Amino acid sequence: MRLLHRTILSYLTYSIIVLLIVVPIFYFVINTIFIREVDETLAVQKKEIQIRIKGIKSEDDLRTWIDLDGNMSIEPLSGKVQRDSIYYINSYDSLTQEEEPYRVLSTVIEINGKPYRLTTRISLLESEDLIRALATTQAAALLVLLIGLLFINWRLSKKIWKPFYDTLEKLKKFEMEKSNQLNLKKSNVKEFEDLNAAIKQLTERDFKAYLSQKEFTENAAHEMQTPLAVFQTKLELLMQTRPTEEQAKLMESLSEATTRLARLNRALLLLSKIDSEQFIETEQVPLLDLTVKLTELFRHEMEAKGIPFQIENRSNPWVRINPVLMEILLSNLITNAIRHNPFNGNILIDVSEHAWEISNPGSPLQILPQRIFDRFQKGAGTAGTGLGLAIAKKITDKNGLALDYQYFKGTHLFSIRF
Amino acid sequence: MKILVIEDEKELAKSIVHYLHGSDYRCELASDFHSASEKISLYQYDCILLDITLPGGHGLDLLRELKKKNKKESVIIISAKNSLDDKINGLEIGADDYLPKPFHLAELGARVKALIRRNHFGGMSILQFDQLTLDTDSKLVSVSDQRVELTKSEFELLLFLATNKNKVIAKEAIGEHLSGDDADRFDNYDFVYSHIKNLKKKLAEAGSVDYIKTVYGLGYKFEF
Repeated sequence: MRLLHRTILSYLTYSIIVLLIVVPIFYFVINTIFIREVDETLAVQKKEIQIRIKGIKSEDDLRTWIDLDGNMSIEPLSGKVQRDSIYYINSYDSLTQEEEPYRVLSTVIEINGKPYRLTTRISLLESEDLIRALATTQAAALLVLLIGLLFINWRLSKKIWKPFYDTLEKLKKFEMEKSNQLNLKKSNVKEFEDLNAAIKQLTERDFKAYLSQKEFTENAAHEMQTPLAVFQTKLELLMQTRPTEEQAKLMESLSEATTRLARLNRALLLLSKIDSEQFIETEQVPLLDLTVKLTELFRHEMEAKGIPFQIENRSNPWVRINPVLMEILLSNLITNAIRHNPFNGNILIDVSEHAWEISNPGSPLQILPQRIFDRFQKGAGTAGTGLGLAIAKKITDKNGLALDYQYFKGTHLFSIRF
Repeated sequence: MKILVIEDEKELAKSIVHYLHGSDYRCELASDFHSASEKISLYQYDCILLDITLPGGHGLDLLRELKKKNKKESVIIISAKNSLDDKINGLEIGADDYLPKPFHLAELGARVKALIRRNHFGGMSILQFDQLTLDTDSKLVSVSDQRVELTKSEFELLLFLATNKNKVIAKEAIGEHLSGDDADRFDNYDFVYSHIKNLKKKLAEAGSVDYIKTVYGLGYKFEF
């Protein structure tokens, strides 16, 4: 849940609760006030009637009078004298053919010395409509107020949080290898300024660490070249000393190990060279032509391993890149496909308008697929340096290409998209 | 043939001197910038092996000095840096070759020989081993004046072995020599074995003495 949504949701919950409580209370209060008003009117009416009734002399007069006012009835009282009472009643209105609510005052009056029950009523129909209208208006006003508040809050939050989202977006896109500049937007909110300052410090520290790590790799690899050279040349001199078969076997192992060590070192150097952008000159490279040239180079090795290969030449796309890097990229992927090919396997290279794909059958990875492009991630007993795919990935990353790996139905597939 | 080895790493310099000494070269050693500068101005060499990082100065400055004095020595830069810039700079200033460390002595030997051949016109382009003749200019091989058809790789292989005659050459050195810049792309150098086999067969068919000897699994040797 986004921060903005969370605050708005809290406001909304609170507003709905207030609305739910306020509207019934409002209705209740208005209703009470209104009924009190009606009751007072009824009491006044009673007093009026009591005054007017003094002028009535006969039963006929009384009947006429009663007939004139549909909201009043006077009946002779039989039984005990009751006290005044006030209550609600629903009675049928023949005119509107509806049940209508009434407020009724029942009292005892004396006409010509005889006790009568006087009931006088006031229709509540209109009043109820009025109250309802009032309540509805009130609710509507509250709702509009609420929506307005939410909107203003949303707008304001969006504006206030903008620098934050801006910073977040920049952090997401930040890549140490490409640039150490974050260029965070200035904000007049202190908290965000503090955040930006902290982030800036952190990235600067990280960048320094990154630089020194890069430098270390490069220096270490460089420093190793000389002792390696001493070792290799001494070994070669040793070979000239007419070794016995046993000694020759030992030298052979040493020679192989030195070669691997030298390769590993060169691969490390290459990685740091790509990192420090020593291959900046680019040109348009025709991929299909390059692929054909490289497979020619590897033909002998593929034939020796009995791997047939096929190039699906659907297009000859040109990619703007450093030609040396492109060769390394493709040949690393081809070497990889040769190396991890089972007996009786094959290699298929598919060159199309926007992708270069290489696939070969093979058993599933011994390592996690998401780590396949990491350094020194290699299956046990394979001959490589463990840097080939890391170099390939570095090259694609540095040149705006996408390198992906997939394993599907027993086939390893690497694809470069451009 | 006189060669000056300018290298501050003593053990490496000793290895180089030792190896080249066995190939009829007289080697002199300079282990810092000043002694190297002195030797260069005083004496004449056929070839100079130049390390770039030296105590007391930069190897490329020595090269500039050399070129300013219009000296004719061939120069091979041997560097631990293997940076494209150094290579390009070095070759631009006037070095003849660039060999990154670590290298095989056999490779160094072959390159020194190639340079000296190039600088000495007349007679140097022909290598003669009894009836076996290698012409490094036309890249032709003949046995008793009869042409032997060799592939490019086979010729390179024979030349590499012959220029390092009587030395055991590790199969890794041969593999790297034959594949050049692509050396790191191959998992193994098994192809060396099949090239050797084909070469030996072709030479034998042409009636040549079998000069190429296998030294257990270690490597090969051109015995003459």
